[in-house]
Amino acid sequence: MSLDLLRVIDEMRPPRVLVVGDVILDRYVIGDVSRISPEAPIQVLRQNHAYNNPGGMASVACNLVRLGAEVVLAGVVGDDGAGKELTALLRDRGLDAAGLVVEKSRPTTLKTRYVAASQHARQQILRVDQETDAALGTQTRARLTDHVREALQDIDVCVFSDYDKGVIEDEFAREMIKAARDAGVPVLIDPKGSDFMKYAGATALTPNRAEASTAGGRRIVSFEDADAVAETLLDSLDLECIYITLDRDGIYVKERGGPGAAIKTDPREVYDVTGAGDNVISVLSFALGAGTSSLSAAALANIAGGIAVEHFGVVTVGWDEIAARIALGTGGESKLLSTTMLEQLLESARAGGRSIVFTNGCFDILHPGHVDLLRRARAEGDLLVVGLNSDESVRRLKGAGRPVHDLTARASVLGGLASVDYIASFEEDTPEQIIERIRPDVLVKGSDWTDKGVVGREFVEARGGKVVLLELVPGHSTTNIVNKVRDV
Amino acid sequence: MSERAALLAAMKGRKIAVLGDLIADCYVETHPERLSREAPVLILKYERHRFKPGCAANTVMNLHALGADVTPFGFLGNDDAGIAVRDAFQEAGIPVQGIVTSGATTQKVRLVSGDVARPKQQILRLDLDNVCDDATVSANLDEVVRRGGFDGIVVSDYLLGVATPARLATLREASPDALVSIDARAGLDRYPDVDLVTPNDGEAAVALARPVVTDDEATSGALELRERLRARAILLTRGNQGMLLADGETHRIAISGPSEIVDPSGAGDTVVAVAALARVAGANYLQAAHLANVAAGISVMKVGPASVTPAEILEAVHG
Repeated sequence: MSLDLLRVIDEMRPPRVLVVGDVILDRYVIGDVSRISPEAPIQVLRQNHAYNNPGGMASVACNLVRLGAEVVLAGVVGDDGAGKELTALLRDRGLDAAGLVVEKSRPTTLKTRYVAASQHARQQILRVDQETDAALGTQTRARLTDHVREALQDIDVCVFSDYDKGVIEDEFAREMIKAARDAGVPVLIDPKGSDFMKYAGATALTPNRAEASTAGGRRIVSFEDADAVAETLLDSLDLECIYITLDRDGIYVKERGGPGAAIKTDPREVYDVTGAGDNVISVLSFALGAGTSSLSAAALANIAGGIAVEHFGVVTVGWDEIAARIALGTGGESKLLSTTMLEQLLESARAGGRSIVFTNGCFDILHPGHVDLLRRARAEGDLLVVGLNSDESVRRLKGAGRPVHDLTARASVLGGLASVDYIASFEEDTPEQIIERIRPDVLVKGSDWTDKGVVGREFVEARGGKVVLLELVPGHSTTNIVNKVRDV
Repeated sequence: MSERAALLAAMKGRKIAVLGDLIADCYVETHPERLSREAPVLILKYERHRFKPGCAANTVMNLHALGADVTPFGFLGNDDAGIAVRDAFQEAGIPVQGIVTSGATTQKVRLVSGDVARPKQQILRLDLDNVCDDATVSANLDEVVRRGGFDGIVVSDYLLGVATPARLATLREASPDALVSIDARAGLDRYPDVDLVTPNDGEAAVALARPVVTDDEATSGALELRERLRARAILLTRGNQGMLLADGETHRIAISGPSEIVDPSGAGDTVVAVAALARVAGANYLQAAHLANVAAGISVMKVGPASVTPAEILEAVHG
């Protein structure tokens, strides 16, 4: 299953996605609380810094960009500071903000979270929402409708991200679902509230446990409950598929006329559930837009949601993190990826601002020197890729009788180390070609290479990267071990 | 005309410089909406917000309300908060030439919530302190304070870097006869040889490194501070214990008005404004202290930092 998922990721081609819904600016005010107000029996939060994130539909859009999708936006902002900030944030992430209709008299939805942070923890203490629940103006609605109709002509999948702030109004929802279906575009909806009738005719819905329980008229405790609710909603709303997100129980997915399936989640430390639903719908829509089966899509989305709740605030989750999590759940050999797939995952990692460390070797019989070197190499950046010589190239370098262990065995042992994120094998005598494909920010070698000229140095340094030579733990080498064994 | 009415009349038109931390007090009004699903916290629905001049800017507004010709010296940012404070000054006819534009305005934000059934109360205070760290901007202020012709100088030091002994020295040099009053949150020793210092009990306790709670502690504390700072007078404010004046003699002054107060914020700004201006207008320290005491009693009955007018003072005295 897991190895299949890696193949699914490998085979997906980025879709064009239309994201329609309520944009929100998520503002975080971070400070410390160290005294009581002299004026009232309340805390004084002293602001250290504040930052803004795209939220609601904008968060889904940013997730999709991180995943590599081409995104078209359709939403509404006000002519105010929050609206300008949001537009700028979206442009920074490479999104075209032209799809956001500006309505003058309308405030941009702004959610401010006040967070007290210390060295030990950070904790939300208050939230203030600035928004209106008034209906969109007639002109705004008309412009939005025209924009969506036009975008639907050239799109792989359409997502509705409904936060009940006015964009996905009943009549608009019905009309746009019909327009999409007429254009042959699947519509995936992250619903809000308890009355789902306006979503009727959509391809798929992603309600959470509470929403599905209310809409389906049955409290979801067990997977049997989930199946019954899924059946009810599939029928009453004429859906093709439904994904009920069940927080710690994962996702329940059911297609019309098919058996339901529970995609269980790893029980991990839940840090903050903010925005996890956005990650789920982003991965689902990407996968469905790329033509993946609903079961694989749900499994991938479940992993993304699981990663999101381990972080504070709204985070984007990339394929690199999803793939790493899949690899973690299987044998170490699953960290051995095709160079092509690795290139894609690293692209996603770079987009997420993570720095890439590369080192290479035969790693035939793993010894403490290796483990120590790899641990220190990993500390030079955010993820470590190990180039592993193929069996043939080890034989050429070390002579007949080597390697002792074949490539799969070596990758399996190496992949068991927490410090190793990915492994790529290479056939050549030197890692020059693979370095040019991995494009590392840091190239690590043992200090025994000091005077030998490090292959790939020019390439890495020309791109602004660096070469780091790490001191070796003395007295360890695979060749010594092999000789010792022979003497025995 | 009563003695007090005559004193209030004499305050009019006195030229007072205020050197200190001009800030914006921001009041964000909300109503409670629901509990968050993300965390066990309240979600408040924003209704409106407004800015009021705070700290040194509140002292400025108080001096203005009493009829003084007041000139503020300090920083304000070119942001919503800073513009609001400038606007409040300009609307009142207070000159803004002594204000240097710096990065961001310091704000104290009070998040207040309530609705029809639940009277508004503060839920959280958020402090955005901005200390000017731009040497050029800072040097600009050093230049701007080279102004003379003041009858009084009030330092309102909330420790954000505006009030410095060097800038005070510059102001004093240009107005050698001005009465100098200090209202500082801490670091009183930086301002020796002045006329009037108005610490509250907490600030005095920190300066003296011992408690200032009982009458005896307050009396001995005020005397010690007066000697140590070589000040003409110490006016120690003691919350609902009233005030203690040390001006060569010591006087205990009982609080004016009810002891159940509405909001103490800004009362200290009112005290230094009234006491300093009264003294400039010819009152002795005891008369000035009494007047400040009456004004403080009015200020604490108002929500937020508030100015007190001569009419209110007269009404309180006669009522």
